[in-house]
Amino acid sequence: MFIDVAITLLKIAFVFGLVLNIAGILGWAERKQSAVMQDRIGANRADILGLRLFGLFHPIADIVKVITKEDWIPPGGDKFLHTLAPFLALFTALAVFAVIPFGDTLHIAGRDIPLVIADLNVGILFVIAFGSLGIYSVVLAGWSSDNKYSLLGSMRAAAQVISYELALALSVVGVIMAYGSVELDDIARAQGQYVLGIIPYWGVIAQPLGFLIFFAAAMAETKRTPFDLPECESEIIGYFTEYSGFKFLAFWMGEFIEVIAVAGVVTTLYFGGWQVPFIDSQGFFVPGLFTIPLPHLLVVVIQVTAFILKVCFFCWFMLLVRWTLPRFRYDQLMGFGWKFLLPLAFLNVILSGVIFMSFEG
Amino acid sequence: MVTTSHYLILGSALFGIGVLGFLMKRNVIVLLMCVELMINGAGVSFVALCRQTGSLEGQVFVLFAMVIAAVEIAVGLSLILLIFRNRATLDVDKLEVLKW
Amino acid sequence: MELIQFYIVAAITISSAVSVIMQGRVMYSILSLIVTLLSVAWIYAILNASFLAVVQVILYAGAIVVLFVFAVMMLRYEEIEPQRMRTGLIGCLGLLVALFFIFELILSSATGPFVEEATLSADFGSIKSVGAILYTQYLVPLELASILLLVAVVGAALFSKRG
Repeated sequence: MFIDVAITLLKIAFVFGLVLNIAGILGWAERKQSAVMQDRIGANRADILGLRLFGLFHPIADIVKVITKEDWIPPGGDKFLHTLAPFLALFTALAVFAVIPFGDTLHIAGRDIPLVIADLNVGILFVIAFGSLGIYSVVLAGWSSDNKYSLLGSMRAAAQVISYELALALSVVGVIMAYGSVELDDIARAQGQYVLGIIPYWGVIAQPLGFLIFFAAAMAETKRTPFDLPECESEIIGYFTEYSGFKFLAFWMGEFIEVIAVAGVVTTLYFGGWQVPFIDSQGFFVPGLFTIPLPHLLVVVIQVTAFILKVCFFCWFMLLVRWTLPRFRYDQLMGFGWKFLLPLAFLNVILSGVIFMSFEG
Repeated sequence: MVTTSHYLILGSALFGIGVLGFLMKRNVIVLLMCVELMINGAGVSFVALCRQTGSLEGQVFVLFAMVIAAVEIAVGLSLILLIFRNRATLDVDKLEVLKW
Repeated sequence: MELIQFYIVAAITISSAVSVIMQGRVMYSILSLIVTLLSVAWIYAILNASFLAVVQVILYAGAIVVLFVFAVMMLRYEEIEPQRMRTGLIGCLGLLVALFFIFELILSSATGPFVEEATLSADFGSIKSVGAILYTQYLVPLELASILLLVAVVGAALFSKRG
């Protein structure tokens, strides 16, 4: 009993420590990425005793700056809701990580420890549920700011999030069909199979169209360029215009955590989760030829590392997309969601149904 | 030991609070929310009895109730918006055109 | 253990439900409603209805209540008139009827004759089991419900166009 609680706490500490650190580093990576792509040098000034390290100290400098700033609440606004909104954003983004498996079951000292914080039997639906709760932070932030433009910005953001949620949920249906389970653990495990003996049966192989829809819709859910109309740091007034100091940081961190969450879910659903091709619990193997046995602990470490690397790759990929594409106009954004992604998601469901049925029958 | 009665009482309390609010409040939006409370109270009772009898019918009922609630809110709120645009009030006591 | 959990969740549910009808401002009523709905989802989860719990969060808390928030945001209602409870004769009558309802329901559910508690299979209330019954035995109601949703969407769109 006591050990179980300790193990769960350890897992939570591991996952949240990892996520929050990656989120901090993403802030730096984003600046560097934009600088590289715009032929600038980028963040490189912060130093500790002359040590600069490519500007890696900038996140620390940011946090010191933000915490010491004045926390301003609009006089006509709602104090309680104004404070609640940013923490809601953080909470809903962080809660998603509870169900994302980051490794295979660990056998240690006679115990089976599934490397996921909460092994719920609703799996991916939990992710969607917290994704849809995230909308409240946006709406409340705009409403409690007592600013017409913030209100309009939050309406825009809420409409966008609701619209793209449909395509997001529908594209997941294809994955559920392919692996016959909604539990992320089962989905990750099922991706250890091989097509024709050599190609790993990852979600992106089984659901290429579904992956594209999911990724586009998930990018829209995180409210980043090319879908960043709710925020538009430089041009339009967004829903968190009236925020400053630490609460603004909470929104900002929430956004980066959402990016990591999307990367984690994409990895789990479409890129094999913690699976590494040709390494399973027996060890490294070449199909049909030979197997080199590896110790269990090493395999688990490799798999967890692979998962983290995949997540980092997708975080970076989203930064790349952000600094490559221009922004949609608002009618284009809505048209893209409702008239293109949603029908495509329906088509994907029907097509996958037909294909899986014909393969099985 | 938590028995089914516990959950049924909780469900009926929820339903009763919904009824109370529906009769006592004047704001149309809050009235709709009270209807939601009633639906949820019924849902809790359904699911509790569902576990008691070991059949899934009750859960399917609750699922349909949620769909009905969604429909009701979508149509109801758009009606409320129309009413507010025309009469500039949400007080049910002031909406008395159909009264004779 | 289960009893403690039940009392915690019951306290949250009841107090937030009371808060829905006692709050003076509509936005706070809506927030209390969200808390109520989430705790009802928790109750569903305790009662082996995990699928229903998630649907409750996605559909109710994540979609239906958002519509309420939208309505309040669009109306900017609170600036125009404060929200009031009924008082006087009608109010007393309402209170009486509601209390009668609560009393009767609680009385019947506390004593009511129950069948013996069934033993549940491991996947009772999971997505698979609910889906299986939903798409076989209740297929026609399901299709009807989807048509109803479509009609509602068209109706809502029509209303907002006209206004």
